[in-house]
Amino acid sequence: MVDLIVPELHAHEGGVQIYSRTMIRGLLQVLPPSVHLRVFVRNDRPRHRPARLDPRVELHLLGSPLPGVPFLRFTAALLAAAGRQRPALVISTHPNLAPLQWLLGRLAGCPTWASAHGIDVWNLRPGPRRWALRRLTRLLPVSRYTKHQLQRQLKSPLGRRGPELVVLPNTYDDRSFCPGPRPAHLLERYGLDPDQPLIFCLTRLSSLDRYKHVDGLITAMPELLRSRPDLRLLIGGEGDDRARLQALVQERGLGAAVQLIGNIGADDLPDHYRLASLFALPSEKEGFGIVFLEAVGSGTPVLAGNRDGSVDPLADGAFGCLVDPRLPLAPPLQALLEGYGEPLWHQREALAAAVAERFGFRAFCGRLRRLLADVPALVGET
Amino acid sequence: MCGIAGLLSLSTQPSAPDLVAALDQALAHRGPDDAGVWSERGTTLVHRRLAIQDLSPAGHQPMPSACGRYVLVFNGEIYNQRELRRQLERLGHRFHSSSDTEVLLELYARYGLSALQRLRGMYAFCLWDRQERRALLARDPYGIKPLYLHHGNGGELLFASELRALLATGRVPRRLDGQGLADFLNQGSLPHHRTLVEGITPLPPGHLGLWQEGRWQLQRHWQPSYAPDGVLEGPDLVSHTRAALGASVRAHLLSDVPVGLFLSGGLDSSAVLALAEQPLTTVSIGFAEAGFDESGRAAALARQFGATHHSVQLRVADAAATIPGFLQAIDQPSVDGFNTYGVSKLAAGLGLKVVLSGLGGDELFGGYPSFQRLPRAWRLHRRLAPLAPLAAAALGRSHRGGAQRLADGLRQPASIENSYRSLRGIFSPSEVGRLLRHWGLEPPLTHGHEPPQPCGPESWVVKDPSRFPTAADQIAWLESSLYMGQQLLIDSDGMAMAHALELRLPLVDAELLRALAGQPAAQRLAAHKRLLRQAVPEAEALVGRAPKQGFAFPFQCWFDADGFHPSAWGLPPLPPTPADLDVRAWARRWGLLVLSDWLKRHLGVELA
Repeated sequence: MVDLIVPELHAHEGGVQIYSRTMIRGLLQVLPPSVHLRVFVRNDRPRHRPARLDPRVELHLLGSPLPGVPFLRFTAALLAAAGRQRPALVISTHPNLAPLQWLLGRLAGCPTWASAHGIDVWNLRPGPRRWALRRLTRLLPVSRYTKHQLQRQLKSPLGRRGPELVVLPNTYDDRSFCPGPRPAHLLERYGLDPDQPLIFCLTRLSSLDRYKHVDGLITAMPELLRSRPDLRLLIGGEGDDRARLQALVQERGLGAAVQLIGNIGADDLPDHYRLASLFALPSEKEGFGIVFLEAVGSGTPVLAGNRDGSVDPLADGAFGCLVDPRLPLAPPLQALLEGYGEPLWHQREALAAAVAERFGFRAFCGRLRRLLADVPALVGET
Repeated sequence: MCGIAGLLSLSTQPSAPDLVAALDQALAHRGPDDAGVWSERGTTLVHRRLAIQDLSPAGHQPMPSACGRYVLVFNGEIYNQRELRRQLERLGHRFHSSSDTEVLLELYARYGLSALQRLRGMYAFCLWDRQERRALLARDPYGIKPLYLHHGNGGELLFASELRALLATGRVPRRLDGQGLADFLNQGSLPHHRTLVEGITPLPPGHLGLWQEGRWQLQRHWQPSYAPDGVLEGPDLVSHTRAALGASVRAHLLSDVPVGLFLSGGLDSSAVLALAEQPLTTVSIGFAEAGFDESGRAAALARQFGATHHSVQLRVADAAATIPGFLQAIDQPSVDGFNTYGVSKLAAGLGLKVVLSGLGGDELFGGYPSFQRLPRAWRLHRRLAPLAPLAAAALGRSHRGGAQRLADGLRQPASIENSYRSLRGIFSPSEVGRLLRHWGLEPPLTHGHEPPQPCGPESWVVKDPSRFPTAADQIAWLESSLYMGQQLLIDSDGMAMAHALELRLPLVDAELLRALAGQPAAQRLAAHKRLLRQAVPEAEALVGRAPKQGFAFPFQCWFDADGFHPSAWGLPPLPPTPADLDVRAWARRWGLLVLSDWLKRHLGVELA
């Protein structure tokens, strides 16, 4: 038995939710058939139960509209379940659940693993969460950058041995995000000619996330337009910074070239990558950046930052162009639009195949399998 | 380190031989080891070579790329060329030389304009794309290597490492730029976007220009940022700083010829010596004048670190004898540069082709008094805001130079930049107006109190304050881009190249800045360069808290001495000035003398 504790699966759509669902799929793929999976979801309610469920999964949806109740129900359910049958391993898909996870591990006498994504572990203040993270068996940062942040913060002043840190990179849906022709309905929606160059950016537009340098893309446009007057920039995503960015677009007289298009539905997203001549998100604080996998998985050339976790999905530059996001972006964007760079960046089918091989679901399962081989109880069960 | 020049035109004919000869001759002193010319229709590239990396003919320029599509003339050094070379070799490229020029060519051939972000070094170059018939001209982040442009008729672009080379072609009218003259008098150097010659402009530092079919497009490829990044504290910050400094010094030692060091005896050059990890030849200058001589300390430092040390004692007569050569070497005048000329001459005389310098430490670690004075002045100005016009009027009545500059500063809105400009520089804007009118020239500004409008890299402080989170960060960049960028770097290149000497600046390095600028200003710019002292304690132990000198020459003593006369020094007479203008400070007199000589020598203009 493996216990998986997650904040949310289906109540909302986001990175952690997708990651948690992928973890369930991966575990079911990798765990021996005799091993069952108990999944405890803190925020989802019974109405979020999926229509189909693998028979090996025991799903506990513990959300409630009453404040404080989900936490109590969640804790009680976990402890009761551990009393009924001890798990061989407790995995959490979010570091915020570490204190509870540590307690469960102590009671069950089993190893405890927790995923660490990005901003969730960059500023670990002294308190129960950091205390518990130091005492878990293994942490699974999604990138080397996040691992470095954990190493820096979990260093024990007393020289106590901390958790093992093993990078488990994110994966993406390589069946949906794959190369294809520029979709006609999007060409029409955005008023583009079939060959018109387009830069696509997708991110949360929060005033707290200005480190993503969306401004830098907008301010690069006048210089790019001088050599490519028909170039367009599409910025997807919502947030409280949208009005400021829209004002910047107007102030620079870029209303015809730059469009902020708001959130993009999950079904429409793969087509947006196929529409783009290149995808750009020159951030300096990405934990990993699944959008990069989705873009290169779709065969689209990518420009990303070189100061953060972005370097992992782009395989240190093998899959895309890494730049210092604090420097002017027009020169590297122009170079990419002109076809400069590694040949692979511009070979859509070959790029997608290479990315799928390295970061596709099969690769994720392979990494998970190697990690689980370290758990004697699970090896015994096989 | 070399000299480059060229002509880009729409003509289908090759450039006239006399143009090529003029450019080549004018740049000969920058590159005595080799010369080369490449022409194709209206495009001509000229190169003079000072061989530092790959001394063989394989490093000849103009250099074509392996694919034949690109041709490059390059001046400077790419310090990470070995790392870039290995990366390109892993991707399958085979190199024919060990020169950094070939690395840059092939890097561009693969990565296009994004190659610029991968370079660590000082450079100015022109890369011609034969397929697109497009030229890329670029200059390093700080502008260590110069590049001047002249846009001629019909979209023609003439460029060269030195302004004098452009004048030598006879294609640029020798006309004084009035605004450039005013800027020089105000700041003691020329701004990043202007020269003293109408029609000649520098390519600004950290910028690139694209020329195609007569169209010219200028854009930035580099900009500073002091926004927090991976903030460290205590011993972690100190060891991080030492590692970053060590990496920069190691990178700057890349050479196929022996490397020397200008050792002033101050903390910055001592830190470079301590981190060099290889025996160097050190060079210093001493003076008889009390308070200026650091040669004893420099010799002790050299002994401590196993360097071969050379020092000369410069007497006033020696200084006077050096002046004619110095004046002849000036490409763009400033109120400084004589010290670099003197020490470069000594180094070249010892047979050195490459020397390191500790220049840049004060800008990086807060070594100037401005880091303490400017915030105080700025706060006072803000508090005085309603009374500022009255205070300015009162100060304006004084004839003292300092009071005049303060008065003009108070007439501006309170800002770090305005405080900086009122405390640094030579003549205040209103004094500049008076001087120009005295010489029968019309001040280019509509009224006499406005400082020059920021257009160069210094303007980022105003345009993008998010990159400068504290006042100290703003001052660090103003010192780096204005005092250092406009004056010290221009002098360094000109004076060293006059002796075919390559000057390298490990503390003026964009990678080093990237490593340190995100650390908190309170630690990075703490008084007395505390962080540098902590990071290089072996230098600190020998230098102690000695007052800052840095090859400062005793000009004030010399100029104030009885019997000083400009003609005895080979200097022109001091131009006439308004009777009530304060010219007691040596920098004012020196600036006027150098300016007057330069204008007469190169433009035939007399200030009278």
